[in-house]
Amino acid sequence: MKRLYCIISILLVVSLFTIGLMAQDTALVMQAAPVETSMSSALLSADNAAWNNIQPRPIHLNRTPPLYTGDPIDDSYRPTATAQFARVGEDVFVRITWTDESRNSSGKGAKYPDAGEERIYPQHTENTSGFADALCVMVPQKRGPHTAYPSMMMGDTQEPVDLYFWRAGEGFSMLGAHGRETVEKVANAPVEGGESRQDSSWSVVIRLPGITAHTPVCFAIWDGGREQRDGLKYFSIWYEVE
Amino acid sequence: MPEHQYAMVMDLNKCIGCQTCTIACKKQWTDGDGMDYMYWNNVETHPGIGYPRSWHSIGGGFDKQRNLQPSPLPAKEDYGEAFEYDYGQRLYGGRKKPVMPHKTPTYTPNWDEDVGGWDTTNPYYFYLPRICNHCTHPACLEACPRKAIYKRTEDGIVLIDQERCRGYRYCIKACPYKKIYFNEVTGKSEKCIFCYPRLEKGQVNACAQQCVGRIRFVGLLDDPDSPVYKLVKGYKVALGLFPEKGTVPNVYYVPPFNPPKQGRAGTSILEDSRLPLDYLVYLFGPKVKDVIVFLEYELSRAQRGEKSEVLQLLIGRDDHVRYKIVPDVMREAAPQENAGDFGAAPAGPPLEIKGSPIASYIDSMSNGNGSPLTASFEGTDSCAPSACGGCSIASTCGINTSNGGEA
Repeated sequence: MKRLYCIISILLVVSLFTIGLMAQDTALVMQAAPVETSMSSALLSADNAAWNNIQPRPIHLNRTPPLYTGDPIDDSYRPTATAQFARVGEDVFVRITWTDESRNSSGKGAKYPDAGEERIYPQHTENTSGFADALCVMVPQKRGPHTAYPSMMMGDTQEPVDLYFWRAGEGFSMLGAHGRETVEKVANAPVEGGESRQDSSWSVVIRLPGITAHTPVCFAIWDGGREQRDGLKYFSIWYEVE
Repeated sequence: MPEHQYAMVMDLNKCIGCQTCTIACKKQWTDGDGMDYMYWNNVETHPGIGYPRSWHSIGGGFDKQRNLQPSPLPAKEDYGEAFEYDYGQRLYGGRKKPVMPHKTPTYTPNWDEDVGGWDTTNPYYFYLPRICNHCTHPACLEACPRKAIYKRTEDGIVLIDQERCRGYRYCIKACPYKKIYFNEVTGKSEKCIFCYPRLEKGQVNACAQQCVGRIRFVGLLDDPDSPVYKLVKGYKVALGLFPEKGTVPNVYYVPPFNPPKQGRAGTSILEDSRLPLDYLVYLFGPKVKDVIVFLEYELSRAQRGEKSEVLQLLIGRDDHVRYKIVPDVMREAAPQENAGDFGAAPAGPPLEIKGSPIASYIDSMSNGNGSPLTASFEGTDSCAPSACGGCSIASTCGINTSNGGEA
């Protein structure tokens, strides 16, 4: 009898643990690994070995439907993406790594090496039809736990969002929004981060300040090679950072 | 709808393809970084490929259900390269390097200049100067998800807010005329601004100011005193480009109506066409035939020594005939009785129109009485020899300009 009770107890513990794990997955919680403050600068490097010690978690991406006339239909392709979180106090460093076969950068024109002092245009436009790969991390301006998440469509009037934006070839910038078509650049708000391109994938690190426990975050990825820009992109649902 | 609409008319019979307008615009507006390949004003040979390559056949505008019909984005190669040279070496170095552009040319804005068409013994072409059409229903404006493009209420000029633009380029795909350009250095789209800072000071557009052929007429389309009103709504001799695209352009063209064949000067284009009429219909729509009929009739009248006010207006020797610029401050003080109605002729003087000129012509022909046209515009210089400075049609209109305009 004692043996039976023992087996039942073990099964019960295992079951509860499994249910707990499932519940955690249902809540889409992302654990942020605590890291020493001294590691901050290292973490800003997307290919620093410090990231090897932090468990990557898969991010499931969706694609927006065609929004405007002429948008391509969904070709069912999705990049494979992972996220790693490291916490230094209330700042969280997130490294997103995703597959992208083609490197598409935003150019800033080309200088002509042979034009000398008499050149007419110091910088030329070289590419009129290309679009850049890009990443955005969206965080509600109101940090901390939410009973209802802000709209995936750039937040709401009552729930404005911060948009930590990276574009290949241009770097990082800070945007803000309070609903669709309200995205504006935020002046004097530098974003810290780093990028790395290896094989057929991008890794981008962004420092997110003031991420208290259970603050929701979500991600968007643009594939420039597929002419993605604006609302045409891959996006995740909300995750909570612990 | 805007309260007023600035418009431009270009008389293609007078354009000599000298590109002075192109350079005037280039020096005024597009000599900054990333603007090397941009020509907000360009002049291209037609029939021809155009700038950007095949712009007139790749799409844009609206279909009949008012759905946008975006085209593919033109690549840099379709616009052509802005070549650079080793100016320092060539001008000062003298190291015997060849005078070659920095890249091997494969296409340029005027790649097929003066090529045109050819049918056995008859070569033909004409020049088509192009700027943004500042459309009444701009497809670019409708396509922009950022609402960065707007049409000014005070004068109908279409502009791109450089603060809001994020370089998505839906506007370029939507524009049937491909008159919006992407600046890779700024990451934003840019276009012709109809020289609004000049207009606001009472000065005409730079392209018109410098035009040696005096082909351009500028004014408000709802101002009965303006030359563009007279040509577009009065005489109805100026037509928009590709009207079937549905954007209602506000740049109009007087079609080339009588280029003579060798040894057959003066023969009607409708009887013995040098330019293929089908091509003009392709560009300007079926109304081009009516315009040609009317202009040829006016030309025959002038050749008989009769008065042709429309031809005199098209000669446009003096600035005050070709331009009527109304600075903001004057427009704001003016009565608004005609505001917002661009589809019908505003009522009241000083414009006096006694029936449609073309209708009058057809009536006169059917009556067989050969009576002169009854269209009359006050304030328009008559076709008196003393007022004639000569133009590209002078050789066939019967006015001899070599003796001071005496017929």
